[in-house]
Amino acid sequence: MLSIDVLKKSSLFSGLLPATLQSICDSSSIKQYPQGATVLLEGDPAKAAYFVLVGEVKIYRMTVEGREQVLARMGCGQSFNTVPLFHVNPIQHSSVEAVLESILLSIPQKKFLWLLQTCPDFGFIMLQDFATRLEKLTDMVENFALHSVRGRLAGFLLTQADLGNQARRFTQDEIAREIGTVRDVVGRLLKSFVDDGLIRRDGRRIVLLDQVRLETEAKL
Amino acid sequence: MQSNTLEELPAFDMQRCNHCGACVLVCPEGVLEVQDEQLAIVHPEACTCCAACEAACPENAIRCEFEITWDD
Repeated sequence: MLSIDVLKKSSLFSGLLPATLQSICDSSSIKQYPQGATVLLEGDPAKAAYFVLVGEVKIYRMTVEGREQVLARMGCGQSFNTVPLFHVNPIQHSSVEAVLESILLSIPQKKFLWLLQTCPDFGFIMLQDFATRLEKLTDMVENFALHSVRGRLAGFLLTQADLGNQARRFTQDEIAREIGTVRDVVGRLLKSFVDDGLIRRDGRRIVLLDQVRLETEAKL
Repeated sequence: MQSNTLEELPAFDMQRCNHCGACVLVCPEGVLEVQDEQLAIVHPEACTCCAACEAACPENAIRCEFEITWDD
């Protein structure tokens, strides 16, 4: 059962007024998704805004050949599928899959727009959320347009290693989907990094050895 | 030679595996065999986690996940 106390635990909602939290409670529903479950499919009608209360989802697009590009990963306190709701007869821009067992809060389009118009504090946090997402997408465009695949892989490895205990494990195919390439290229580049002394392979660990040179590679 | 624990080996989903043997053919270390229509890990200690088996599997039954970390 959704309550104000549950919403307060979410970093996105924690600063909202009690009346706003009550309005969100009255307007929303929660649903649990097992790991690997499809939450939304690209091209389907967009009906609701979603907020991650527990777990993690990935937002992705897929080509007709089945090649996937991950656009973002959203964890606790983050939202998705909010942008299409500003259009009449909105369509989902991307597909969404639960990468961990997740609990998601959803607010139907009409109620989402009503909350934005009647609760300024809710409107402000959604604007902040949009701004953060715009910055990330701008960074992604720069990364894809101005950096080589080798540079993107170096940057990805550095980012993941810096996450420490919060980092998740990736297959080579999953790394490829994050950096806009295919598995074979990731395999070849990792071998090249090993040969160049930038990393070493230790069983199922990719161990970063030379931070300075990896950072230089990430800028290329 | 290193001794791999089960956790250090690729994860095999035996529900998805159709015993086609594609992974056996590509494994450079001879870690895998198909015995009595079952995939068997016969030399786990020899696995280098090269992930060639994962790439070759047509059923996506093999996952070789990597932890990305700084040198200790």
